[in-house]
Amino acid sequence: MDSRNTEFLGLIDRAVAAAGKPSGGLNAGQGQQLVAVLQSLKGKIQSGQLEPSGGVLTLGLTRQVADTADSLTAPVLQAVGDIERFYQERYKE
Amino acid sequence: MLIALRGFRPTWRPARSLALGVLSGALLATVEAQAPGALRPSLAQDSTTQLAPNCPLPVNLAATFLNSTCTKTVLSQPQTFYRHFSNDSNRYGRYLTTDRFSVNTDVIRGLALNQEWGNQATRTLMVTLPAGTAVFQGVVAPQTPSTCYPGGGQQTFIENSKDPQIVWVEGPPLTVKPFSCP
Repeated sequence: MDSRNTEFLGLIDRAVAAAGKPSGGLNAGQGQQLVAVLQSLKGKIQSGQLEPSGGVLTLGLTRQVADTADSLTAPVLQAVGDIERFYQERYKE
Repeated sequence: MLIALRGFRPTWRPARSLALGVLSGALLATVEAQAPGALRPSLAQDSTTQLAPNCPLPVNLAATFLNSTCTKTVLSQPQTFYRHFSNDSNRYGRYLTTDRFSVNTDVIRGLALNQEWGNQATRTLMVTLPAGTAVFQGVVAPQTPSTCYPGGGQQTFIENSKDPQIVWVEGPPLTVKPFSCP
């Protein structure tokens, strides 16, 4: 696996950890749902099935988490924001 | 395909847009320039959060808008928006729209509601925000897979969806069709 994917997966693991913490900013159900989506995303990266962002596409993680998170400064929102930024800037093609 | 997205125009059309009747200049008390700097303290507290150059929100939130571009408006009087949901877990939230849709599959595509999250957009809420509410508005960013979630609809973001002055009322029914994404 190349270093780009390794870094990408590391960001996802950080978000998974944040999603599981009570202080992360999501309730238990939301946290579990986010973890499931993040695990699915990891699978797509590992299998090479993730569509490149072209610098335009998003993953929808921030859209979903920001919709219902307790706070807009919640750790989990920062974590998925890092993933989205990586996807747009480093996963262009 | 991605080049085409930059000039994306949705194939669907909202049945009607609240923007036509409500977003008249008379209601817009304040439309800030797109340059950041007037962010409320609640968001500005996190010094690690950069503000986007073309949307007065942190970069991560701005990215939910097409090309990270939005404008901020402070409502001078109450204004009604739409929100689409399918169950209690997605009934309330910070993302609204001025677009009125008639079919749920158009909602899913235009507002980029990835079905992994479970919002089938089978129902509509009419959401009336009180005067003084700051709204951040732009176009929905496309989400992967872009063939399923091209975005392109109108997106309105509010910072506090738990404001007790917000009125949430069941809106007109949508035609519900099955949605599939390969």
